[in-house]
Amino acid sequence: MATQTKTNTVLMTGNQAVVKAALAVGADMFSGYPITPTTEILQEWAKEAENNKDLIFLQTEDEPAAGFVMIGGVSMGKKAWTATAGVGNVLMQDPLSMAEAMRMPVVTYIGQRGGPSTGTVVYSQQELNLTRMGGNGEGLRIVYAPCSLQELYDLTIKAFNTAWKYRFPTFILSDGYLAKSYGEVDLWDVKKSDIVPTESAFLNPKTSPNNIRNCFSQEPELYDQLLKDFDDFAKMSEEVAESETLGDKKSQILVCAWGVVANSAKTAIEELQSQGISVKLFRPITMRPFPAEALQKAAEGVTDILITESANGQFGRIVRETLYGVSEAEIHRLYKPAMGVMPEEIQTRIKEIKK
Amino acid sequence: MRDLKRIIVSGEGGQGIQVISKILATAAYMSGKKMLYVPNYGVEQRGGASLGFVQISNEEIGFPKFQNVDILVILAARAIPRVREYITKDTLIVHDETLVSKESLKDIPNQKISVPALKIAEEKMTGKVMNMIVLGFLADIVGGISIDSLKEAVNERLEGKYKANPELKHFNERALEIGMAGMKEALV
Repeated sequence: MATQTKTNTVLMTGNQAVVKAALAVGADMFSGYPITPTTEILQEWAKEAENNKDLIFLQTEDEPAAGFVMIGGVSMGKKAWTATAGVGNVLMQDPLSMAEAMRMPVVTYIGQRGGPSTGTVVYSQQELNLTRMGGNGEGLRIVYAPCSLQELYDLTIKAFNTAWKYRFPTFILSDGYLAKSYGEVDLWDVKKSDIVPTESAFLNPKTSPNNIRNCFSQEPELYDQLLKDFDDFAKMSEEVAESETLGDKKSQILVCAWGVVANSAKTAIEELQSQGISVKLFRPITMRPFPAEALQKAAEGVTDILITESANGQFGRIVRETLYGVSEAEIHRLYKPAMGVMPEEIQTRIKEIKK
Repeated sequence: MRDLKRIIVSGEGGQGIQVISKILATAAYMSGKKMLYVPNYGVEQRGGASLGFVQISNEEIGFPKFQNVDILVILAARAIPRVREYITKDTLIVHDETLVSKESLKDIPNQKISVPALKIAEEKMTGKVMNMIVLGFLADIVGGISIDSLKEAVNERLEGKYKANPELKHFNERALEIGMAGMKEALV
């Protein structure tokens, strides 16, 4: 979508990179409630808003209020977004479910922390189920999973554009390690023509007066609405689902990992490669829609699959469901709920599998 | 060939552990290297152990944390239980004997360097610059980080404080130089 123009490399944290990306793609409203490890998003946006009267900032009394305010902004054509984590992500599901029902292109940044409940304030990949499928609905959402500081910037820009193009709630599913990491980020300029414009759902003269519903009196009314939304979601999926397959394409060992753990796996397979052990890596970039076909292709001719994640199989279930009846490879698991997965551990497991 | 140095700076709240970790990473970047830094953080706001994870390499760095540490700096005894899990037989341990006694490290059989950073800082300047002496020394061990990059990274970070206290700039730069020269000059 957006093409890279002028480059401008700066040292910053993950949270700062996300705010810079939101500004670069024209976000103009933020409502939120602070929670570690995403509090700096509020702080950075508040600082920006202090110096720019075109930016709206509201710290609400809790996460549901922040989410509903965001929906209010988006419905009036504001490029509104929020950031949350952990129990905040749980509380945010009420407005996010409403955004699904009303097809509101809200953008939510999640910095996963350990769970259940308050858990740790640090890190996990345990908010995958919640972010993909949370709420009392069918997960009509788009979820991007950055694996590096640079991707936090790149995919946040993409998330806003995808949200406004297809009108589904869109997420940047990050984690505490990425949020707090400090390193170089290329803050490339987004061309104006590459920014998907916003539109008010209520003030559009073509559709106004407009009745956008999240409440139906008859079952068939809701059913018809859902079928239409599923149809749109399927069409969108073909264009949006994204992944990468790295390493030796002919290898019989496939590692499946996502987010920052995929970056750990990249380091591991490069190291193994230098030792003469060939491995390939499949990494979804969109966790929803899930790039199922690409995974099935990556698994062709593979005898062993290592699934690794910082959760107890939330990602593993998606992989196994996608490969059910397609691949007969043996499944190995390296699940470390709420813990980092280091490159060394992945290397050791692959060497064990090789034996 | 990947040339990767994994460093943990550990101590307790108030010692500037995260400040020197971030400055080390920044100076490495200014010297043309790839780097990634992540602090540990928890629910406690004050006191307690503080750890900074820094990786410096000639190639892109993947995961922000690591299992095995190459250079481990310990500036407070209370940090020892928190860093044990990262130590391998090849880990080089850097400590300040005034802050972390040889006795408290005696069950760790690794190669150790004791730097009298606090002693030099208090005698020659002010105790506050202890961490800058450690930073200079650490940058020298890591290698490939210039004194100019270090000074620039420190200046960038402490510009505000320097305005209120110009003497601190002089002390910090002197401390970095002493640290980087391996404290030889100060020891004679």
